[in-house]
Parts: sequence; C-alpha cells; structure tokens
Amino acid sequence: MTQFVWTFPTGSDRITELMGKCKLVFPLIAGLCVCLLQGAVLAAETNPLTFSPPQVSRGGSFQINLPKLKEGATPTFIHIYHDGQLVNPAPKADGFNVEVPADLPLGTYQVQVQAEKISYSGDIAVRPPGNGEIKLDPFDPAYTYETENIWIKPQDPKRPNTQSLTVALTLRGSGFVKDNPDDNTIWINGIRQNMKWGDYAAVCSDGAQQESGAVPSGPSGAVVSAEEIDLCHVTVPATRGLDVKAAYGDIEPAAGQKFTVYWMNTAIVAIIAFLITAALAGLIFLLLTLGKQTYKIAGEDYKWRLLFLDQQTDTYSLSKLQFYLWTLAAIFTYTYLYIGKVFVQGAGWPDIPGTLPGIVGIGAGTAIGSQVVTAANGAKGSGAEKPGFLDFITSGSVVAPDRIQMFLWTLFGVFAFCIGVLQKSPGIISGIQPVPDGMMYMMGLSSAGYLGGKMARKPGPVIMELTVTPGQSDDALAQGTSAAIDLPDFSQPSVVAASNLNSLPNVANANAQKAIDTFGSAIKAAAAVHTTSDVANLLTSLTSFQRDCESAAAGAATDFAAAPPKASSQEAAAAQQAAAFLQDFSADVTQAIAAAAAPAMEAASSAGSVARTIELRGSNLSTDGTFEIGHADLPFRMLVNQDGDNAPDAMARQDGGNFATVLRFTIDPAQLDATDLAQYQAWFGQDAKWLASLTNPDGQKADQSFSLPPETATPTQQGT
Amino acid sequence: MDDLQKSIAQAIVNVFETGRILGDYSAVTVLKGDTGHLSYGRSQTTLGSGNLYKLLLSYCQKSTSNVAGQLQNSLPRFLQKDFSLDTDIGVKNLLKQAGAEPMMRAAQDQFFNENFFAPALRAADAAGITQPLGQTVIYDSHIQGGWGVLQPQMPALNTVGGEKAWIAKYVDKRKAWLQSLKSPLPGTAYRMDSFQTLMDDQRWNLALPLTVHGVTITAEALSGGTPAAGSPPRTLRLMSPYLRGDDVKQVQAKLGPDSSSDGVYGPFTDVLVKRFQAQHVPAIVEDGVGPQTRAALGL
Repeated sequence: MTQFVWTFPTGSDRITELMGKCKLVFPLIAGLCVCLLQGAVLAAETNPLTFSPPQVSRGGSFQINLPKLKEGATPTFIHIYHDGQLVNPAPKADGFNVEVPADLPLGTYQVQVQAEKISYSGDIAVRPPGNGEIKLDPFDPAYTYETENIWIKPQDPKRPNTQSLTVALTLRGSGFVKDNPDDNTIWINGIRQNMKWGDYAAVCSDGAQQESGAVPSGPSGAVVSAEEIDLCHVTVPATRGLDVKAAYGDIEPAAGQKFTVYWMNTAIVAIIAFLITAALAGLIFLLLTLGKQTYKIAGEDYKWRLLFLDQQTDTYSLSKLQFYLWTLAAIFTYTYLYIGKVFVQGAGWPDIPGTLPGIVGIGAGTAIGSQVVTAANGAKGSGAEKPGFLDFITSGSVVAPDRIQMFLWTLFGVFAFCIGVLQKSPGIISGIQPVPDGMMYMMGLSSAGYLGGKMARKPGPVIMELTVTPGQSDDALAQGTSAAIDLPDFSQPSVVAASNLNSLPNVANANAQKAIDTFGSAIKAAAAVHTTSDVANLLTSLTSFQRDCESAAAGAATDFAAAPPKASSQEAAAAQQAAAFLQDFSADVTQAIAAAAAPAMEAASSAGSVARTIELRGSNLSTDGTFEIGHADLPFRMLVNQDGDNAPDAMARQDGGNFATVLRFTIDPAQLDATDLAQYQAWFGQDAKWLASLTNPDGQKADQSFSLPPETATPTQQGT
Repeated sequence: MDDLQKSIAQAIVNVFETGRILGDYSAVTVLKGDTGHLSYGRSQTTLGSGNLYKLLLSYCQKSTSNVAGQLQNSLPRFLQKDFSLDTDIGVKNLLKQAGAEPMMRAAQDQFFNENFFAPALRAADAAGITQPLGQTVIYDSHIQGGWGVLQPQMPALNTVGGEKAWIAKYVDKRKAWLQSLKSPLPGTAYRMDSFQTLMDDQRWNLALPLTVHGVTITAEALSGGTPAAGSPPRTLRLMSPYLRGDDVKQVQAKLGPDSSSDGVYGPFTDVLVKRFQAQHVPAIVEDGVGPQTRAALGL
C-alpha cells in the first residue's frame, strides 16, 4: 500500500527557488519567467496517462494505466487534485489502483503520478453510481413574465442590503441527484451557480420581497425528483435571456436550454395596445371636438358623435359602427403584434397580416353598400328625435331583425377576433391568426342580410324641420297684442270735467266745498295716470271719490234743509252738480278704459280662433301617416286642407305615391267641436314644448320636437 | 229671460262698458292698434272690424234725418276702412249727433242684439246655462270677448255640480285669465268681481234693484228720461248715479226759484221734493216723485 504524502516535485522546488530569486532581483519579470519555466518543465516531464474505466463512480476504483512501465514498478506518488487543490485526505491506492471515497464530490479530478522518475497526468471524472448523465429538457414555456424583486443580504454585514430582480425556474429532465443535491451543478449563462440546496423551503418564499426577509446572494434549489429541480432567486440578467445548463460535477456541458424573462406580459401589452388604439381614436374625437364643425339636433350639439351619425336621418348608423369596430379591432391587434415582435421579442417590424384587410374590407363594403342602398331605395325612418342606441337595431323605431343579426355578429366577431389574437403571448406571437373561412363567410352573409333587409324595407319618414305658424301660443298672441296697447285716453273726459269744475260757483258751505274739491281731486287722479297699472287703481279711486262726493252733496242738501239753513240753495245745487259731474266723469273714464282694452281683448279673444299650420319638411313623409303631438293623435277630422277636406296637404310630393317632402297640417279651431277644441287649446293654448311624431303606415316613424314660442329662429337642426 | 231681464243684462254690461246704465250711444273713441281705430256706440263697434260700417249702413237705411244723409256720403270710407276717419272731426261730430237720434239707438240696439246678445244666448243655451245671471255673464264675455277661448277649457256642466257652480267656476277662471293678460286688461277684472257679488247675493234672476260697479240699476233708471209712448212716467227718486232727464227738469221747474234746472235728481232736488211734499196740503207720502207728487206739481 503506497501512502501518499504531499511533496513538491523536483521541478517545483527549482521553480520555487527561482521565484525567490526573481522576487528579489527582478520582481516585475518574475511572474513571466516562472510561468515560462514551469510550463517548460511540466511539459517536458509530464506524460499523459489513461484510466480504466475512464470515469469512475463514487465508492468505486480505477486503474491508472502508464505506458512503457516496467513490470513490478510502483508509483513514487499519486497526487489527485480538484480545482488545483490537493484532495485531502487522499484516496487510498493499491499500486496503480485507486479507490474513490464514497463521499468524494463529483467532478473531474486531475491525477498526477510519478513512477520511475517519470511524471504522468490525466483527468478522471467521478460520476454518480450508475454512470448516468444529467439531461436537461427544453423549458416549456421557455419564457415568463413573472419576476420577483428580492432583498439580498451582502456577505459583509456592514454593507446595506441590495435588491435584485430574480426569477424562479423549474428544470425538467433526467439524471438529477436527489440524495446528494450538491452533485447537481447548474450553470447559467456560463457561470456556475453557487447553489444553496438545503434552505429552499425557508428561503423561497415571499419573505425575501421585504427587506427584513433579505436572503444571501445566489439561487436556492430543491431536487424534487430525478426529473425535476426547482430553483428560486435566479438573478435576471440585463439581457433577460438565460442559458441554463446542468451536469454532474464541474464540467460545463456544451449545450444548454434557453429561457427568457419578458418584461411585459399579455395583459400589459394588451393594455398598451388598447391605449394606443384608444389614443388614435381619441385623436379623431379630439379633432372633431376642437374643430368648428357642429351639428345640432333638437338643440343639442353633436361633435364626435357625428362619426356614427347618419345625418340624413339623424340616427346612429349600424354600418358605420361595424366599420369602426372592425377598424379599431384591426388597429388593436396589429398594435399588439407590433409591440410583441418589436419590443418583447426584439424582432423586426411585422408586416400587416393578410387577415386584416379582409375584416376591414367587410366593414367598409357594408358601409358603402348601405349608402348605395339608401341612395337607391330611400332612407330609413329617423325614429326618435335624438339619436340613440336603439337606432342600431331599429328602423324608424321599428325593430329590424336584419339589423339585430348584423349587430350581434359584429359584436361577436370583433370580440372573438381580439380574444383570439390575445391568446398568443407577446413573447411568442409571430402573426395574427387568420379569421376562419367559415367565420368570414358568416360575417359576409350577415352584411348581405343587412343590406338585403335595407333594400327590401320601405323608406321611412325623416323630419328635418317642423314649423308651427303662428309660432306663439294663444296666450302669447293675446298678451303680445295687448302689450302694444297705449294708456286709455282720458284727455277728452278730463277737458269736459275741468270745464264743468270751473263752471261751479265759489261756495262757503263745507260740504259743498268738499263735494267740489272731491270732484277736482278725481280729475287730478285721472291726470296722474302714467302707467297701465295706474289704470286699475284709478277705477278703484274713482269709486271712492264718487261715494265721497255724493255723500258731501247729500250733506250740503241737508245743510240747506236745516233750520236755520247752513247752506244756500246755490251751494246745495253746486254740490249736487259736482257729484253729478263726477258721476259723468267716472263713467267717461270707465268707457275710455273699456275702449282702450277693446283691441287687446279682441286679440286675446281671437287668439284661440287662429288657424294653425304645422309644416313638416323632410323626406318620405306619408300623407296617410299618423301624426301625434305629445303622444296624442291629431285626427284627420281636426284637419282642413286646401280643398276643404279633412286631410293634410302634400305641399311637395316626392316621386309620386303618398310620400311628400313638405307635409302641412292645418287646424282651424273655429271648426272644431268642443272635445277637439279642448285638445287644440291643450296643445297651443299656453307656451309649451311638444314632441311631434309622424308614423308611416308601415310603422316607421320620425320624431321632432317643437315649442311655442320657437326656441330659436333657426331650424331645429343645422350644420355650420 | 224676459224683456226686463234682457234690459238688466244689457244694462249691467253697459255699466261695464260705459259706466252708464243705458250706455252711451254717442260715444266716439279712437282706439289704438290695427284692429281698432275709430269706435262708436254703446258697445264700441270698431272701424277696423268692419262692424261700424254695418251699423251705419243699417242706420242710414232707416233714418231720413239730415245727419243720416251726411253720413251716407261717408259710408264708402267706412266700407274701405279708411283710417283717416280717425281724425275726421266732421264725421266724428256727425256720429255724436246721430247717437242722440232714436233711430240710431234703435239701430245700435238691433245691431248689438243680433251680433252679440242673440249669439250669447245661443251659446248659453248650448252650455246648458238658463239662469239670467249666468246668461248675463256669457253675454258679457261676448261683448268684452274671450268666450271662445275660455269655454273650451271648462269642464262639462254635469261634472261640476250644476249650472250655478259652473258659472261660478267660469267667473273665477275668467277673472284669472283677465289678470293674466297685460294691462289694461287686468283692470277690467272688476266685471268678474261684480258678477261674484251678484252670485253671492243670489241675484240669479236679476231682481231689481241691483248695484253693479257702484251703479244702481232700477226700473226707473232702465226706462230713461223718455218713456215709451203709452207707458207711465218713471218715478224719480234719489239713487246713484243720479237720475237725469227732461222729466227731472220739469219737476225742478215746478219746485220754485231755489231749485236748479240741471235735470239731475240729486240730493238737493230730493230735499226740495220732500219739502214740497211736506208742505203740501194734504201732505204727500210718497217715495220720490211718483203719481201723487207729479199730480200735485201739476205735471
């Protein structure tokens, strides 16, 4: 049994001696000299050797094969090194047969042997029992977006903790050593990892995300089985790419498995794509909002909603909605693809997928086809006065099945298309999956059904303008006229009264004087009328003056009749005359007021007898339609047309038939019975706002509001 | 509605329109506005409406007076609604003179009866109104205007508890309506106040005497100063407004030198009458100047 001892070979002693001299004499050149000399000596004195078997299991043994060795020769020494360090304690050797300790770490060992003054060296690999190999399978998936930002405890406790972006990996393959995890060596991007195998359960938790739970640097792992190793706290490199290798011992395999840590996941990319799409759409909305283009419907401004509006009918257009939805879906999905390819995968700008023009083409084709059908067949009914979401599935407020099916197919198609694209994560997406032919066919059929229904349906009423003449309510007409009335003219009665007053004699009797003074006061009161509100007050005061004057005249008469008389006959007569004059004056004033009020009253009285016309301008206005005001029918019996019949007047017919572009309803209240007159006055008696509706015989209708008086001098809708 | 009630109804409206029980047949007024202009008569028939032409045509066809002859020459201008008549003082004086003629009064009575009173009675009948006061309310609405506006807004008669309740409701509504209009129309709401007072006093049959807007309507006041041929002279008594007329002048002339001769039966004249009655042997016990006093005075 040869006992190994650690000794320097001759060459090494000489080198050491030379190095000492070099350090003394030529310190800067010493290293170079030593290296050259050592290489020359070793190269000159070391010969290769082989082993049987070429690799050995732990606990096994191997035979050192030396060429040209004399029989019976024994090794001078056998030194085994691992990573430049002499293995200690040295494995036992019997001659050239070396026993490998059961606890020797796996790896490649350098064996140096000297025999017969000749040095030999070679490498032998120590493998697990069974001589198996670690085989690492490709990652599936070979990417992740999930990272963990953990706190790292530095080796120097005086230094502060640092943060590191890490990722957890699951290695799958075969040959992993579970009993002795240290046998499994992991390389990431060419760097052998200083694995910590014993603390996986304790370390690989969420605690490291808090500074208080800081962990030592380096990944931790657990060998789940011979087929799986779980790793955590694997540092994510700046490149976000991981080349993972695994093997026994310290020999790095040539090939590894690629793994990528993406910084954006599907949700983030989808959100960014959505925001970009929304921003592009918002740009259009912004331009429309900031622009001067305005469109009013029933007094409400429409700007960005113009995008969806069919201005011919003032309704939301289903074909436009479909076109915009598919366009936005195309932009969204392409943006998703672009971000995935360019920013996530680092690839080039992707080409427009061939499926996008097809789906946008369906929308565009439907929109154009809709315009063509409308031009040829006429517009649909405008329905409610203001556009609403029901417009997408109705035609003139009548539910249209052809519109419903296209509405539903459009929503479903857009949704399904976008979801289908999002199924591919941005890290691996290579293109947009084409819409299945069957789906394309279905959407085309849906559009065809929509256009067919549009073509088969009769055009519906569209009211562009509604004018009521006169535009004021009966009350307003009455008040408007009375407002022009001047004050009653009291000049003539006042002149006569003043003359009468002057004709009265001077009196000494108090009652007679009071009667005369009261008469004078009444004249002054009439002269003091400057406003129309003074008129009513005058009527009241005149009654009071008249009563006082008559009382004073009676008092003067009593004074005359007293014994002895307190008033002369002239005084009593003067008082009587003053009272009589005041009665005349009061009557004249009353008459003047009644006369002044007569024109105002005539206007107020005749207001309710003014014939009114309601004129509709638009298209497809049926003369056989039903007209409502405030959801109450305007029956034909209330109408009188130019021929004297109870029917509306088609002032401008539209391509023959029963359609008109100008339809007039004339109502003469003088010809209405009490019930209809009451309805007429309910509509036109006071200032009010009403919603008028014309419903064609096929059920399509159009609404338009009007008010008494008109809210603006312009039509209810305008484009500027 | 009998003839007396008809006269009372017309008197009530006359008081509203002219402040006088019998109206002012000579009243000439120029109204403002396109629908007015020259107006004439006890209920203000206007040039603008064309009714003044119709009234004058009726008068001219019946009267042979000189005034009628002169107005005949101006009839084409009335037909053409020549608004220069508003300032034609000669024509306006002719109209005032014509108002004093019985023929013009008769023409006006007939005109207003045909154009206002008769239609008002028909409207009242259609509405189920039979009480004279209710008919007067409707007549007033025809004279002043507004019946066509308000009547359709009224509920059915049988839904408000009968005729009186319906009239009361209508008066309320009409008052509110008048007050809702611009001045001076709210000032005419006193008409409805007067009707309300009559309803409160249960004067549905228009029993005399009754007071409207400070004017007491009596049979004597209705008969005027010139009673119809064959009818007895009216009794003169003190009322407001004072009775006037030639019959008053005749009485004043008999009462002695202290009496005035203004034709007004006022308190002074009434004192003289009572003094005469007291001094007469035997003393006359009579309210006002009735048959006994009139005989004692030698009238």
